[in-house]
Amino acid sequence: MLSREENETFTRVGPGTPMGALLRRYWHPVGMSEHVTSKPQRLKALGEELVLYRGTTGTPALMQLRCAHRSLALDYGRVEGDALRCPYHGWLYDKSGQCLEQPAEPEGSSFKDKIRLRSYRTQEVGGLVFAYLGPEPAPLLPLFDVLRMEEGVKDVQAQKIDVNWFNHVENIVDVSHLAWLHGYTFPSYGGKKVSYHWERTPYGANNVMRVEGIDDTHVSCYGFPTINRFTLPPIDKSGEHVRAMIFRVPADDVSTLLYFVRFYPSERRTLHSSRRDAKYGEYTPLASDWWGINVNDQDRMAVEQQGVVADRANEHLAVSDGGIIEMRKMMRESLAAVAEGRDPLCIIRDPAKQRVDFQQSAGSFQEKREDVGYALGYGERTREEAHAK
Amino acid sequence: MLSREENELLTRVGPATPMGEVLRRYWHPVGCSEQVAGKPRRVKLLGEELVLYRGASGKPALMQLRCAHRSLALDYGRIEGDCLRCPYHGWLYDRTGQCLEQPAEPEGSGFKDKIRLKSYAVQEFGGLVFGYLGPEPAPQLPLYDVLRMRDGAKGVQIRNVNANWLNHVENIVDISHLAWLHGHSFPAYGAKKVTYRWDRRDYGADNVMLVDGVSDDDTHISCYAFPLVNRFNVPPVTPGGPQVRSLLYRVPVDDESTLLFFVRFTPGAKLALPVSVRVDKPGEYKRLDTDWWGIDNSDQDRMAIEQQGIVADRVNEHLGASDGGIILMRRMMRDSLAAVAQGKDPLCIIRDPASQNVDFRQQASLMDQRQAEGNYAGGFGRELTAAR
Repeated sequence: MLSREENETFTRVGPGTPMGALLRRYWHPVGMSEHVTSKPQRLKALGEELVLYRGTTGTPALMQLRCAHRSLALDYGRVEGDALRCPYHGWLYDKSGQCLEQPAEPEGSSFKDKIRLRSYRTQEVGGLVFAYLGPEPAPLLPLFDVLRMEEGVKDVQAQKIDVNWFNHVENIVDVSHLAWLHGYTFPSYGGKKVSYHWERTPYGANNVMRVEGIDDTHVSCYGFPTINRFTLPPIDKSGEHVRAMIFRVPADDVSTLLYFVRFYPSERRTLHSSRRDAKYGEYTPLASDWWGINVNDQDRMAVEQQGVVADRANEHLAVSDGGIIEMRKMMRESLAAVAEGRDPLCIIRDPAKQRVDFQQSAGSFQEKREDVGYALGYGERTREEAHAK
Repeated sequence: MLSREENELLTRVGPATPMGEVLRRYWHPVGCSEQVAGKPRRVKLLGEELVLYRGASGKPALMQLRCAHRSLALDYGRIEGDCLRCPYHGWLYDRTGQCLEQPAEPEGSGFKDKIRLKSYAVQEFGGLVFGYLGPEPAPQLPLYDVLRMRDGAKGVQIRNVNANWLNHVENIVDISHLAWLHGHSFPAYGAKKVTYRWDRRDYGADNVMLVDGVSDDDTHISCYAFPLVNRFNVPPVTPGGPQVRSLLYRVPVDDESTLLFFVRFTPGAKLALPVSVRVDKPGEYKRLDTDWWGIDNSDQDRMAIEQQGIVADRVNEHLGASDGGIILMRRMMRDSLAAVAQGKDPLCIIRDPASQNVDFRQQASLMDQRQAEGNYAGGFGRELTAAR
């Protein structure tokens, strides 16, 4: 149970909020490489409206959405070389946000020199464009294992959901939901007697699940503060498990962007990027499932139906919720560190530690149903592609 | 740059807001004459829900939308003579809003005599119906030149914009956008070096655009009629023909939406075009791939106005020398707010009948050069062809 005040502290991420300051210390995905072109695109991250485009230098540029002059949204603008021109009065900005031209101003005016849009650094790895919205010096971008995998079939999918990010992060460490919410899909633990524990790691924590009558353990991983790493059942006859990661990016206090990265080793090397926004309250049905909802949409149902911002003043946590308690402890430690001018948890500054490998293990837990659509259409799509070739 | 408080002050128009008080001192279009027939029509103006109908007297009546009894919207009612009957319990109102009948009340009850809906003064002119929501005595209705034009074809287009009215009014005096936002359409000034000037007039102000290398005779002038109207020309319907005389009324529906009454006139064959109504969605703009911005001329202003944010956040703006018109217009708004607060008339109110005709100093020869493709004057050419 949280006080209403602490619930606000944990959930609000706009500029000037404590949690907003904390999350700005990490790199977050803001787009998919394949989709970032010379057509500027609008996005929102941590409550800030931004515009993203790729100019001639090739590095994605990210800056405030609105022209400093009269607030026009620059996704309606035109990319010229590496710069972006506003359509309203032709103000031109370079990728650092510096204003270069104001065609209507008098000859020799230096007004443009005083105008600079907020702009942010970007980096690209593994099919995603990452941005850093915090103070310099920026930490290293963690090179998570799934991002680095290339010899196979990779799929990147962005999905906007209309719910506060913290609901979704709690769902990572809330592993006791697996045996129930997803219980129909995975008979090896569905409805079984399970015990849980959580272990802190340099990247965050491991969620450990031990099922009565099974020797090995099921481990999924939490990448602090907003990421997780897990495995999905094989989607073709190769028998290769799907290596999966989800990045959560708070768009604002009431919506979250998920970047779902999936990979399995194969002789085929492909990258597919797509966007599939969700409608609040609409879930893919599956009549045979315990809850009537396909596993694809079960987590979204759970995080949406807690309320857009869950009211934690009315919750009652138990022993099996240790992960949530641990995660909140990590958030509190990090909030305190940032308030004192230190790095929060799991920030990487040593290049030798930039590669992050997760201790994920699904062991002998891969028994699954055949009537279920897994991983948001990934399986169907890759099978179609393979067939087409 | 405005403070957050002043941005609120300048943009909010509901009843009892300071800007709402100022705008209630002017006549605003509430419909087109030909539309006001048959069924009562629901309209919204300055945050007030209203019903407009034409009864047996032939004169439009304008009153509060909702029945005083149980709030039913009276556009579902029935016109009886010059009166309007509510369908829920049969209450009958005359055109002043006075309740005349309450069929379910006991014989001899005096309750109906105490019930009166808010009702407002109405005038018709030049194909438009105007309403006045302010205190009496109402000023004169300005008879703008385009409204008075007779020997030619006239058309009115009604369009919606999903943004606060002030975004749209700023776009009138913000003429430095012409060379960029509309730059592809008009090569005579598109991306050219231009200097700008604003001259105060009795009706408001003139926007003056001086293009490098263009003679004084061809100086481009468009006109601002304070507080919500502008007068300009658009290219001829047929090459070499007369330009289309245009007048654009902006009506604040509420704080987040605006209705445009776009009056267009071309001299020649006498023809009254049917009223055209265009309903647009925010963020969806008619495409034109050859245009610099990929958007057709007829939707460029709407894009600019909607994409500043529904109520533009003026705390973050940075105005330069070329934005003198915006600064002047805001000063006129502030002067008018102060005048109304002191019980005086705001700017550009006409009380002398001798000044009721308003002629503008508009001039637009540079527009004769234009791209062939594109949809000018909201498709006036097409409407004209269809009507013929």
